[in-house]
Amino acid sequence: MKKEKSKIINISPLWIVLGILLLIYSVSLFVPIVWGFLTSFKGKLEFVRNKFGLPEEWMFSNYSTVLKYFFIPLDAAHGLRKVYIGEMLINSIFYAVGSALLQALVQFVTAYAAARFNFKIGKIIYTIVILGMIIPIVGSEPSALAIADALNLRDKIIGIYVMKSYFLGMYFLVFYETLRAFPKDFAEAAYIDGAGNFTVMIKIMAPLSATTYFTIALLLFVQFWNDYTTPMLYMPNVPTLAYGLYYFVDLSRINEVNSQPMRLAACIMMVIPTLALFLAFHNKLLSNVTIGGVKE
Amino acid sequence: MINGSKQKRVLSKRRKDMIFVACLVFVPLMQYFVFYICVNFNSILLAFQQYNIGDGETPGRYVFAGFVNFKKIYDEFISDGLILSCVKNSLMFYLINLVVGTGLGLTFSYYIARKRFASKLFKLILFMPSIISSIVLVTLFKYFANYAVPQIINNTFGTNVKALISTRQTAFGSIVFYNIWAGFGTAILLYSGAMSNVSESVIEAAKIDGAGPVREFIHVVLPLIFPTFKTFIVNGVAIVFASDMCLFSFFGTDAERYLWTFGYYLLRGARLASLSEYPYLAAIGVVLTMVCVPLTFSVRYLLTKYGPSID
Repeated sequence: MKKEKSKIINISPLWIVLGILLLIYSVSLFVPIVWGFLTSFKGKLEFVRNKFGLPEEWMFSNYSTVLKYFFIPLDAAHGLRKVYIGEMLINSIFYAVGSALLQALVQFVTAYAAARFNFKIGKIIYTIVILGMIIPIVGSEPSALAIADALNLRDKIIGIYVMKSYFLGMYFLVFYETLRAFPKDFAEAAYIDGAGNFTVMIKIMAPLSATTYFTIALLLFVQFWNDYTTPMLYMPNVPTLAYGLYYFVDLSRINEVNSQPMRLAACIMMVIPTLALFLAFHNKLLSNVTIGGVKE
Repeated sequence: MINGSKQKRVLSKRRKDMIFVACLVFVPLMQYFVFYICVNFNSILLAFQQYNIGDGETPGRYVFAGFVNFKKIYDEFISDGLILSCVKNSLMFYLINLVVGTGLGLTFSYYIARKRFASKLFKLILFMPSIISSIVLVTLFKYFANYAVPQIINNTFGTNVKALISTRQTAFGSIVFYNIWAGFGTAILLYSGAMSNVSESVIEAAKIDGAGPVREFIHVVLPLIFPTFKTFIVNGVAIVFASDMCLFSFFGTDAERYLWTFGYYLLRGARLASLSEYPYLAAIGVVLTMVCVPLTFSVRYLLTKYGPSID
């Protein structure tokens, strides 16, 4: 009892102030989301006079209207082609899942070569990654577009895979630290038993790094799922959901959906799968990655 | 004889390792060569070229044009004011973000790392904006700031407030606020991760010496997590001219010119430019890189030399 009392008295004012600040921040984050959710059920006219209150009439039909008009018109050989939400969803899955798995794989493989073998190329790769992080390259997009055009990689999912399969970036360092941390004995025992390098990598090191791989792939997946600028620039004719949403919110001029409640309904629809994924895997996403490695 | 065969075995193993490593890194290095080295080399070449539109018989092509694009940048810098405005906005955004965003990020991370009341929940909430698509979060924020906030203020205080994002006086401040408000995610994750690794015995020793949480943070925790802090600052400087401040998500290609940063200028250019405009954009990129490289290395050097020591 006494101990508890002294613990309460010992709470520094700093913690109280920070706790209050964090509480205010948390509320501030949810207010626009809740407001957006409620507004998405309002009619166009109701929104003009009632911007903050609850909907007078709950327009659930807003969501079906959004689904009906959520498309991107594209020029095709035989005229105008409309890409609807179903096709965008498939494109998003191919883009986000494929790019995330491939990029994580390339970073794992390169980090494995650099971390587990004592060759000069490993040190060169490590230096390239560090330099890539601190040397700022600004404005190379036009050149990248020109090269993508020259290699015929634009407007192709495979083209995006090729462009996104790079080893540069922070996650290489995470893999590198993780792989270096494994004791050499694990691999040595397998080598003595006659295993080759490939078997050791696939049957011993890959399962040991599976948690790290999964976490990084998940972080990359969220990043690619939400990315609309890459599809906008590199595959405008293979639109993803994120690009579709950008188009719907900023460029679509269809009368039926040209209102704030409709655009907010589209946003809420898009955010639900990501939030569900986040809530399901938040323990993995939030506890594993540190800049010096992965806490197991 | 035994030594000879052992040496042979070691050599053979080394050769096998070498072939295996070469197989692993060949494709990634090729990818790096094409999409990093060639892209950036081509960017430098483009900066010195112009596009000649072809006629019916000859196709259009890039030709060497000397410093024409750089002269155009200089002329626009003198006459237009847009480039100066981009410099000002990019730097102001970086500095405000550095002082307010990094300051809050560090203190919030400290709260989470010391496992205070509801720290796990706060960590979850602080990271949440990072997993929501920027176009979704921006739209929610934009409409809330443009429609709901003015109505709340008008109803509560009777003051006539206009749409915050669309009014010149409040737009820049509101967008900077948005970036700080929505941008804690990765920083919180990495700072709190680094702070959690600070040994409990070091914290206890500081407490015995009479240090409160503020002194403990400044004199013990901050020096120990300085490598993480330095990485963030250096990376921040490296992308100072690359950040579009989410302007593209807010306005698409129609942001008012007084809001533009270089990141937005270049992204908008990449979206709208024709082949003939690529060289000018590439030249801007080369100039910005030439400014950014010494700036980044200077900041890195200064932080390494004058940053707090662990002793």
